[in-house]
Order: sequence, then structure tokens, then C-alpha cells
Amino acid sequence: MNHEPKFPGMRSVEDEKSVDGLRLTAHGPGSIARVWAICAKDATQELRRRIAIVAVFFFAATALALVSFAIGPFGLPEEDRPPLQAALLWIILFFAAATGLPRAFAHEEETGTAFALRKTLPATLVLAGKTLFNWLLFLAIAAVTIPGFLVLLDWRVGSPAAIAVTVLAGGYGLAVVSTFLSALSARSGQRSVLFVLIAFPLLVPLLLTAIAATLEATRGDFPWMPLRVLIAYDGAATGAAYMLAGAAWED
Amino acid sequence: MSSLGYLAAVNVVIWVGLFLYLWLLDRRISAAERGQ
Amino acid sequence: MKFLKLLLLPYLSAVIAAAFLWPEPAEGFLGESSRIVFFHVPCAWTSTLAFLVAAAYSLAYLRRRNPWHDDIAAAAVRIGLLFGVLTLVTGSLFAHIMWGSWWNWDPRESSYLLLVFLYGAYVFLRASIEDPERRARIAAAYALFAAVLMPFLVFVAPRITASLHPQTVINPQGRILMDAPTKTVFFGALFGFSGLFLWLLSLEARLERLSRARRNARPA
Repeated sequence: MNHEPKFPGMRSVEDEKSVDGLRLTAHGPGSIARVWAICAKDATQELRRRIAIVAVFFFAATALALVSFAIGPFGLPEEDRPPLQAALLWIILFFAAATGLPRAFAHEEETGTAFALRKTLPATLVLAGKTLFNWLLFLAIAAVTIPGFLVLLDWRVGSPAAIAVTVLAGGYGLAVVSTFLSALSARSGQRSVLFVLIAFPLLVPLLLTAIAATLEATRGDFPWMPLRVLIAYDGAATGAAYMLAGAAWED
Repeated sequence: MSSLGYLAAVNVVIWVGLFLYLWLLDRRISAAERGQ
Repeated sequence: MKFLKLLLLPYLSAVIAAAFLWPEPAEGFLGESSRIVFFHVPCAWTSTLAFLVAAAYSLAYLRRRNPWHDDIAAAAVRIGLLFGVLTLVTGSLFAHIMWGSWWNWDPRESSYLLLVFLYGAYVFLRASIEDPERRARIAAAYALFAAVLMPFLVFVAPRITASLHPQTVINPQGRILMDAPTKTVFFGALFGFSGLFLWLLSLEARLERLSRARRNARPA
């Protein structure tokens, strides 16, 4: 059977012979290509369906407009601004992302492609691909939200480089944790409620440290302490997700 | 009797009651396990 | 075993009586409020111990796939939640006396509340999955993932903002700041609560196993 794979690096279930071959080379050359293939597949699907992805950006824009309308650039005394702005920025980013992130695995279960995916690729690669997509989605949301935030709330950033590092590290942790938890909650009936319940307590330390780092960066310092905590959190979450990927995503 | 002594006595009585409950529960579970 | 369980009766009775009557109230605390340390900290310790036991048995389950390990993990989380709620309640009583309000979002209070939410979510997660094998596996994965991120919640988040919580046990000096009688009763209480926890855990896990056996005997 000569079946042309739709995405480079990923093979279909019908190609039975290649299934075992893929498992054997799970961590050999080609892993990165296959992680990328998963990410590209999710991106194409989301872009094709449009409505979900538009909703995420629309949510970010609405939240931003609401916040700027309510407090505006000058609604707050000068000295109160940095802490509130840091907290508001992450609240907007988190809730916008939270409308999109839990979809990672839910979609596979809805369309019935989960089974095929389980057969063709090892769990760690599926998880890695979906984490990558979620990270890129978060960075896209941030890329849209932050310029708006700068303009509408008169946000004066002391150290833009530190903000960039914080957004990269914070978004990565958010992507790893929510992708893993999305795999856990994908098969459950009330998955969106369940996702919020299981994700919120785990993400609070991440958000608090990200807000602390953003605050220091706004004031112009490089936030060494919070960033170290953030990177340790990212590392711990990545390690745990990697070890537990199989248990979370077998049938 | 001092108020601390009173509190100590009340709490010990509560603990003894809890202990008896757990003891009986333990016996019932053991009986059910033997029944299977 | 039976002897140890029986021993718990006079032992904890003595600890409770001593907690009220033996040590002098600590300096810097209002009235007798410092005595809560003999109940509040053992509750917090027991619930943390329970969550660690749940993580250990979750790992054992994922390795061996023995349903009994899953029973123990599920039971440990429920008992951990019970002691977690008791920690919050005793902490709230203390806050009311010392700081004049039942709840004031002190970082230590908030992080402990989140810990209770975290394991409360475990119970919801279990309840939402029908298939017993998958329920056990998903719950174990969540318990282990949560255990890895738990230190960030318990140790790091409270450090980011200042706390009013007394630093008698967990402090930067890494020492226990108590006089000799207080220390004796304190460790006595820790030991007794741990014993009580083990007993409760075995009861709850055995109940879980019984109800599992009953479900298997009468398939729906």
C-alpha cells in the first residue's frame, strides 16, 4: 500500500509496517521532524476551522479594551501603575490563552483521530508537538496583546529584553502544563470545567512568578530571582510531563 | 476546674469517641473482608 | 498491629491533655493561642505526608498496575484533604484571635488553600472517569504531576510576598524555635497524628478495595 503522508514526518495508520519502525526510532533522528509535523497539523486544522482561533484573539482584544476603558492610561496614580499593569497583563494573557489551550487533545477525541495518532507516534512526541503549538499560540496572543497594552495603558517598560524573556518562559510553562492536563482531561465528559479545576491550582505559582518578573522588568531591573523560579518551574513541568506522557496518553 | 483543664477533658472525650468509632469500623471491615 | 492501634488511645489522650496543660503559652502570642501549634502543624504535616504517600503509590501503580496501589493512593488523597481542611480551619481560628480576621489572604493561607483545591481536583478527576483502569492511570499521572509542582506552590509562592505566619517550624534559620516542654508535646503530637493517619489510611483503602470487589462481583 503506497500511502502518501499528508504531513512530512508523519505516517498514516494504514502504513502498518512503518508503525513499529516509528516506535523503534522514537528518540532517534526524525523526532524533531515529527514533533514539528504534529505542531503543523494542529496549526493547519485550527486555521482551517478559524472560528476557535479567531475567538481566542477576539477574547484578548475584548479583555484589553475592557481594561483600558475601565482604568485608561491615567486612571491610576503613577506609583500604583506598575504592579497593576503587571497583574492585568498576565490576567489578559492567561484567560485569552485558556480559551485555546485546553483544546490540544480534546479536538483529537472529538474527531476520532486520537486512536490513529496513538498508533503512529509515541506519546512524548505527540505531547511535544502539541506543546509547541500551544507555545506558539501563546506567543502569537502575546504579540498581539502586548503592543495594544503598551499603547492603551501607557505601559512604560524599563527593560524590554526582560519582558521578552519572561513572556517566553512564562508562556512555555503555561503551554507544557496545560497541554499535559489537556491530555488527562480529554476523555472526560465535562472536560472544560475539569480542565479549569485541575489547571488553576497548578498554574498559580507560574502566574505569580511571571507577574513578579514583569513588575521588576517594568521598573527596569533584570528579574533574576523570579526568572530563576520560572525556569525551574518550566524544567520541573517538562520533566514530569515527559516521564508521564505515556501514562496520560495511552488508550 | 480551670478552663484549660475543662478544654483538655472535652477534647480527650471527643478523641475517645472517635477512637471507639474507628475501632468498630475496623472490626466491621475485617469481617467483610473475611466474608469475601 | 492491634496492640499499636490500642496504644493510640492512651497515647493521643496524653498528648491532648499535655497540649492544654503542660507547656507555658509562648511569648508574643495572645493569651493561650500558641497552643494551636500542637494541632495545626500536625494536621498540615499529616496532609503533606498523605499527598506524598499518594504520589508514591501512584508511581507504584503506573509501574505495576496493581489496583490495590490505586486504592491506597485514592484513600491517601481523601485523608490528606480531610487534614488539609482541618489545617485551614485551625489556621483560621488562630488568625481570628491573633490578627482579628478569619481569613486575610496571607500567602501561607492562600497557598495551602490552593493545595486543597489541587487535590480536590484529583477527586473530581476520578469522579469524571468511568472506566476503572483508565481512572486509576489518569489519576496516578495527575497525582505525580501535581507532586512535582507542589513545592512551587508550598515553598516558592509564599516567599514572593511577605507573610504574617509564625515561623516557629519552617523558617530561614532552619531550626525549631520552641522551649523543651513545647518541643516534647509538639513532636509527640506529630508522631501520634502520623499513627492516626496510618490507621485511617488503611481503613479507607480497605473500604475502597471492598467496594471495588463488590462492583466486580455485580457488573452493572
